[in-house]
Amino acid sequence: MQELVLNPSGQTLDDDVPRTAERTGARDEFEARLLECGPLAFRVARGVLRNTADAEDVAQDALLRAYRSFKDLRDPAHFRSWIVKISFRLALDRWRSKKRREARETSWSLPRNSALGSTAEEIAASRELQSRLDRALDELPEKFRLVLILSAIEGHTLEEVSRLLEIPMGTVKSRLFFARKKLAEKLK
Amino acid sequence: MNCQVAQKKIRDALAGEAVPPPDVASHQANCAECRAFCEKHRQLFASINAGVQSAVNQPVPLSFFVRLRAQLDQPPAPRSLWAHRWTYAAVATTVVLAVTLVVLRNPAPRRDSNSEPNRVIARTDHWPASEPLLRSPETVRPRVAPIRANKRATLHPSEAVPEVITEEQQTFARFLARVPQGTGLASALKPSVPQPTDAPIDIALIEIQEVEIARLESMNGDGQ
Repeated sequence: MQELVLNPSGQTLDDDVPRTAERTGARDEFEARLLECGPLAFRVARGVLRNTADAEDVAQDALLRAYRSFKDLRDPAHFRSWIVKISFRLALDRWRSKKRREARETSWSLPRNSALGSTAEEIAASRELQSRLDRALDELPEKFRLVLILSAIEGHTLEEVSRLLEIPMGTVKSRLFFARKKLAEKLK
Repeated sequence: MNCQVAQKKIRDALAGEAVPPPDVASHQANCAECRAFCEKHRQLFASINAGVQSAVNQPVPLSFFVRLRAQLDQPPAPRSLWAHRWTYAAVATTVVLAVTLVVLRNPAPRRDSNSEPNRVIARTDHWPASEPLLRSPETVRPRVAPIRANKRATLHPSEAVPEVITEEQQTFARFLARVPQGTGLASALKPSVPQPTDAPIDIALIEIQEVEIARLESMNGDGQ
């Protein structure tokens, strides 16, 4: 039952009631999608930024923007795809500004080329390899990077990535292939 | 199949998360170098997968939804004044109008190229030294163009030097030299008290009593 809200002067705010109801309906609908899309936005941002705090900020920003424009979304089926794109774009912006700030503040850099370890365990454990992998990921073209990140999210199949990005399956496979190949070349 | 071709096929197959083709597998069976290459790249791609997955699949912090819901409950912040596109348009229009007004109020000096050879504008402090009459401002009152005098009214008195038309100035000086001294015409033309050059010029009415007509050619050259 809708409750009337009285203002201090005693007049009913009849005009605000439909607006409030509309807002409440949009909020409920958004909340229903939030549990599913919140982690997705966070993981996309985390894949780009590789920093939890930054990823949290970016995902929140993306979801807030999505909420404010939620009523303008014509096809709700595209909501996940929309969230992924907003998160990725905002994360890239944050990453670029962070890189610029780091470039101003630090003059040193990590060594670029060094030999690989002899076993998979040694390689995976190596912090140097991790930093080189981070750098190689940063240098990947955006479209390759997004496919790689989305396909690395647990539970995501290539079909899911294809649906999210609204691109053909063959394109997803070829982008993933080139992304992994470029990473291997940089880490070799 | 040589090792170079085999290794390229091995790399492509592993990048695409596929198994190497049978001809490569048979080559590997006989080539220790390609077997080592395959194993090394298998480990490399495994570590790439592990690195990307560990970067992406981090647990979502518990504070994430709490903070997000708190922000959703807040009313949207009013849009910044500068973010509005009409503000930009208004600012741009104002700037254009201001620049236009400044340009209209201070136009560039107009130069008349047709009359320039005949009318030479010069300052009184640049009178030619060969003309003796022009050295004494008591005897010659420069004719000041009214528009230029008004413009110079805003300048400092020391900067306000009237401009005269040199050719007319010289002709007037020669005419004065021929006027008999002590007559009413001479006193009317020559001021008794020198006036500052930047003051408004009052020219008294000339009363002509006698007119002596002489040929103009005689004024040039020998001075007769």
